[in-house]
Amino acid sequence: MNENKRPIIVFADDDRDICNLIKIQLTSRGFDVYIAEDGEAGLELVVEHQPAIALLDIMMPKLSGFEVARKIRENPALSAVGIMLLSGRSSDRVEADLVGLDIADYITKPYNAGDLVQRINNFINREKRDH
Amino acid sequence: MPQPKIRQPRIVLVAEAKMSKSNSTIDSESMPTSGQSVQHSFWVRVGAWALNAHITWIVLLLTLLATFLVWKSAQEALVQEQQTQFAVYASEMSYAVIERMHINEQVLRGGIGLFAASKNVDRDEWKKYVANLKTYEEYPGIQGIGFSVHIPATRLDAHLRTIRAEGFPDYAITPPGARAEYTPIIYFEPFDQRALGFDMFSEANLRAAMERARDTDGASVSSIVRLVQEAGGEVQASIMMYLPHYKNGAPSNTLAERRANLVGYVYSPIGLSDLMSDILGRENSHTGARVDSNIDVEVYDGTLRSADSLLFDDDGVLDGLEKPLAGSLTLTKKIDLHNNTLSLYFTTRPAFHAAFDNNKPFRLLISGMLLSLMLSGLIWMFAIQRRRALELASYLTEVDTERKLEQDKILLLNASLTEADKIKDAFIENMNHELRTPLTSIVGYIDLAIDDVDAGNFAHIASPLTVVQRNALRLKILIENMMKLSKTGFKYTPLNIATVDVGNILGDLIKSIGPTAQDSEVGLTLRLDSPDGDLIIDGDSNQLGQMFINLISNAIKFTPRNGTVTVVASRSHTESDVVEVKVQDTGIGIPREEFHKIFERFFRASTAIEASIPGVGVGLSLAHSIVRGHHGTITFDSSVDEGTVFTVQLPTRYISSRQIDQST
Repeated sequence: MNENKRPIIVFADDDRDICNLIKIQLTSRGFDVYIAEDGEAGLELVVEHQPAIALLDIMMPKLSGFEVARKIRENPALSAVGIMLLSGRSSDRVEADLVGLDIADYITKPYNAGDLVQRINNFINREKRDH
Repeated sequence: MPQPKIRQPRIVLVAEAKMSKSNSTIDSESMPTSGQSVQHSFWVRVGAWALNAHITWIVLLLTLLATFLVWKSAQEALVQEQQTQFAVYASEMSYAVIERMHINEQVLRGGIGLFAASKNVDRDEWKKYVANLKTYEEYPGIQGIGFSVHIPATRLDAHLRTIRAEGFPDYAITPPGARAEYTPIIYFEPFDQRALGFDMFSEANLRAAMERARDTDGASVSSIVRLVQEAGGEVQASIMMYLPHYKNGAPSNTLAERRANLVGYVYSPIGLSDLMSDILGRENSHTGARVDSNIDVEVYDGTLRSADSLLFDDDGVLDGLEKPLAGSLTLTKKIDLHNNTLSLYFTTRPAFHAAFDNNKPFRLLISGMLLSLMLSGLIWMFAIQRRRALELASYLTEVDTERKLEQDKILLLNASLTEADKIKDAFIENMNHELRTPLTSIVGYIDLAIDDVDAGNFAHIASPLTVVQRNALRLKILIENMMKLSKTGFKYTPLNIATVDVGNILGDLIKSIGPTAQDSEVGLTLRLDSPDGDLIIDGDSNQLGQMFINLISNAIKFTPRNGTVTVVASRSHTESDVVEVKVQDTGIGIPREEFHKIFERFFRASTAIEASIPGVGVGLSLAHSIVRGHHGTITFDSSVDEGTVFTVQLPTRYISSRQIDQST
């Protein structure tokens, strides 16, 4: 990954206010952010942009966050994509562990913007070290 | 005859075996394939039915039949036994008579032998010979043994002289008269004066017997005679037996020689009364004949029975001439005595039959019937016990079934509790999401607003605050719903009734919810189809507002982008004092099979869950409750992927006296 380029984040959430919020917050902190309001659109964005991180809400129309995550993991071309889940439901975290998907991190709504950014950076730096 | 007794149970056993087989395979091979097997199974069923329903009667019938057969055969055996014993007795008696005759003949042959061995046998020698035989004592009936000599008329005088010289000076031949030949008795022991000189040849009956003896050189027996020589006593019916004595050394091969050389006859009178009495009256070691006073014996001369031909009778009753008594047995034995015949007529007396175990067949019959009844009773008891066991089994099965039903109920209850638990969990999760989502926006956009304030960028501060406001409204609706839920648990909440304009309420709502519809890109339209004042009703404006916002926000939430939500308020077309509000969307719809649950608390349509549309499932419940509180109605119609329309009808006048069932 080119260090000079801004890391790409794809965010999918059916709540438009949250989508806009994330876009504003992450863009101002040095990320390129693409947002989608359902799982299907989110997956398309991931395939198109191959982001550093796909940040996914769980409860979404068309494809749930889990389904998007599974499809990402099933696609070898997307193996470098880190997946973070963003949800308000505590049971989603449990389910995420059970599905056995390689989930990088789990963030609970309402989140703290600084905390979110730090976790994203931690993941990106870890990936850089490993490669 | 015991065949049916054996065959019947066999059929039954086969029937049972077949029955159980057909039972076990009834599902896999239920239909018989050929007519024969149909017939077979029919008889099998008949057999099984008979066995089950009538086994007691069948057993009773069979055992009674068997008893009857045993009784019958015992009776026949009894008769048979009597007949056999009677016949054996008669035979033994007959043989005893014949035996005596043989003995008599032997005795006479001894006399012949004496003559043959001597030149001359004188009176004294004869006397000693007979005395030595002791025949008279040993064999009663043989009344004596004598010798009569053949005397042609030419030698009569010499004969008379000889005998007179032997110490019988008055000796003469009786009956008197001149005849061509004489055969007077010269010896007779035990001596009887009356017999001496009696010319037996003068009696036609005796003469015939004597001539026969002479001509055949063998024993001959006369017909019945009444003996004259018997001392004193009754005249006894007797027969005479003769053996011829020829001249010593002379031939006797031809008839002419026998007639020419005849010397005389050794003879013996046999008293039948004495003979028979002796035979009947004691056990005779020679014959083995037994006394049986229960059998009457009569002896007749010849083959015809008549008073004249009667020779012997021991009881004075001539059974042989009477019709036999009912139940008594009769038998005639004929004894051939050379040229004569004796008939022995046997009759059983009642005592003979009484001596047998005549009650045996009856005893068998009674005990057989008792056994039959006992066996049947036993089987009857078994049958009753079996039926009781079956009843018990069926009762236990019922109990078991009831227990299973109870179990099923418990399982069902358990399932519904599990289901309720799931609903509760889902509700809490959904609540969590519903609270956190707007909160996330509120927190995030306030941060943005603060950033704007910090940066002195007041021009843009309204934008994030609008989002905050919208999400705060969303939270407010949610919290109000929750508060109502928690406070009342869907119980009727007292209404704050006032005169309200439904049109105004809807207008205010559309203004506040409009931005949400815009964000969702759903077209929201309000149409008030009425002149001013027509939509005024008695109602609680807060609760009506909460009801309508639930219906409208639901419609927006479940309508995809570019869909429409249309709210129409009007006077009812059918009822003049009713205001009608329709909320129509082009949303995902509700499956028909879930219609009945749609107003249930926490229920969420499957279409909503599949589309991952968040919610807690209380909006419609509350709306329903509020409409009912206003004595109105709420109905809906829906098609999946086409849309849903809710119709609320509210009466214009709220009649407070109408106390209604407060539960929903």
